[in-house]
Amino acid sequence: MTERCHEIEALLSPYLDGELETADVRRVEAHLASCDVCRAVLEAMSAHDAALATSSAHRPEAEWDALAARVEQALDREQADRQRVDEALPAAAPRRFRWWPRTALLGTAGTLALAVIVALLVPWGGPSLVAPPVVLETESADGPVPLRPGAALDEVAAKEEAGFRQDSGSRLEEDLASAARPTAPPPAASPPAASAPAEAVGGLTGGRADESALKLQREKKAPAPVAISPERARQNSPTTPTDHATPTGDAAAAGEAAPVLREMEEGASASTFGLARDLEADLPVETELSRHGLGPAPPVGARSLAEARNWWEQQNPGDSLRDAARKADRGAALLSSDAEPDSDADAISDGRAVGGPAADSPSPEDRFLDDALAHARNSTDDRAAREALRVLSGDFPENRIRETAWFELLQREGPSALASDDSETVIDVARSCDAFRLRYPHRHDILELRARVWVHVARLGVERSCAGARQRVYEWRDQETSDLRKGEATVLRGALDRICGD
Amino acid sequence: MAEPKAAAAEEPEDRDLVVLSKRGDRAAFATLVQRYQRRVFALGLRYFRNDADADDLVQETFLRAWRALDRFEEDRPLAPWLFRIAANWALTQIEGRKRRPSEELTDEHHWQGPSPEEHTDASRLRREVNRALSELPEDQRVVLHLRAAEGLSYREIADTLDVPIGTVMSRLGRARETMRRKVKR
Repeated sequence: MTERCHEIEALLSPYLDGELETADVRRVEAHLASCDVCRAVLEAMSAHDAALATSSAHRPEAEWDALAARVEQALDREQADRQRVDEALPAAAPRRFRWWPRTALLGTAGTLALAVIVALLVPWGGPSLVAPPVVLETESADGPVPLRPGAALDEVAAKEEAGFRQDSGSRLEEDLASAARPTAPPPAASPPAASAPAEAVGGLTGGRADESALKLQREKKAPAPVAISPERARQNSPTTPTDHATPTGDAAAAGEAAPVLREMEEGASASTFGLARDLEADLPVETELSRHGLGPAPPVGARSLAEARNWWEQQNPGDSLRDAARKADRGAALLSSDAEPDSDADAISDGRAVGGPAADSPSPEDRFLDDALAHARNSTDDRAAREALRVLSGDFPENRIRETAWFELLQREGPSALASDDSETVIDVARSCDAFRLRYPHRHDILELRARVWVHVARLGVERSCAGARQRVYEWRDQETSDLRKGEATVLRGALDRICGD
Repeated sequence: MAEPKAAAAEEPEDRDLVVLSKRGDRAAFATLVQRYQRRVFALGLRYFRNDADADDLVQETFLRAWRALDRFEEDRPLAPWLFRIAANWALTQIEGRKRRPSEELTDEHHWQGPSPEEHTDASRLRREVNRALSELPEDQRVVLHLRAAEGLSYREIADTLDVPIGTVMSRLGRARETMRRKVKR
């Protein structure tokens, strides 16, 4: 095999797939005409592909039928369960999200929530930044619908729960009892729900957290951490200035971006996450803060971001910005599990192929949400993770994200995650638990969690929720295999009976 | 539920079934499930290398597809969209397992050719190739499966896996090179 063969061999795979440029095709074919070795390599690749193309996963036909039936049953269960939830909770809250196919992607609420999430994620690992309570209004054609006021937490129920806690000693019971205590919600607890989108951003404007964020950004000269497409931003936010993407002072701004990127290179600052994302998406920087008159225009314009990205790629040819963000935020422990033997070569190849990592992906919002969720789940900073999970579990159009975030949050905090008498939020969580119950039918911990959340719904006095709660408590008890847990379910049922006056 | 098999003489187009499904027609959706479950399962096997997880993948994929159906444009090919949903779920699961390394995965499945397994050179090669594929790193396995078994273009694979085209190209190159070394001819 000659040196020439090595060059050509690298092209054989895309040649086989018809994905080479014309000039390269000619090169390959000219070489193949005179090289038996490379021709044999190509034939082997082709034969292996053909073998895979004619392979199929073998199993008896009855198993395929059973699998299709299983999917059907899952859909049936989900449909029935949704119906039961809707019937049980007719007027308790407006439908904050849809369970069924929807036509809209992220709307205003989603856009604003993205801003909030990034604001939370950016300072991780750096100075602590506590998010203020944030309200994201439902996309509703009827406008905001005020919540039906939830009943105050019942002191008797709280005492019962406290007694129960002593009996059972379980962590969940402690959580439930603490949830029952009428304490103030934690800083980023689910907010009251009846404020308009602009006011929701106002939640970002008044708190010290925002001042900290702004200060942080000024000091670091980092762009505001909002990575949404300009089209989406315009579409979602009529007040968005259309000239925000106009680069101003690009040369100077490029110089300002470099120190931030150096920090990223050193993996020293978690706050580079937002910048990395902006760079990765190659989007003009937009800042909610400056948009609302709270700060100067972002120092880094669109063109300078592109320049900064080029600088980054030149300095770090083996590392994508996405990887850099991960490194900065998730730390060495996570890196080891993420490490891919070929990541360097991939990144180099990526840069050559498309001029940057995933710059042209069709759905940056989806990717962002997934990243944000993974980021929150994987964070070793539990407090920051919980803050981010709270935002992700908020009024989000993406069921998948919200449900997962709630579940993670509940697993971390137990029902005390519901330290709120906001019945709308609690019902959302109950729905999420129902969804997870359907998804993982064999997990008793979800059965238990769901029952407890539903008891919480009943405790808030949500109309007709007692029947729903009872059904779920019974289901937990019936399916629980451990006698001890069965006993706890029975105790919970007793508490529910007292709450519901039976 | 209607009987999709009985009515399948004319084999309705995916597009028509998607349109019906968007209107809530569960029978139409069931036909799509029947039509695509094997391919989604096969992708699941490439990810997980065991039947149980691949079954879960099929269920999750179609549940999610049903929920997200009206975001899907019926004029586009359905398979890559399903694969994308499947890949997202699979990767989430795998990422979770990395953090809980107690679960061992084994390749219990048997890949077969179009006819009941014969003892020919073709069948021997098929077995060897599938065995070699199962030994590749997961990202290479999946890319090669999507390309060779599913015939997706680089662009479609990139969209499915949410990676750049260059990554698809490099993973494929490495997968084929390793495969060639592993499979004796």
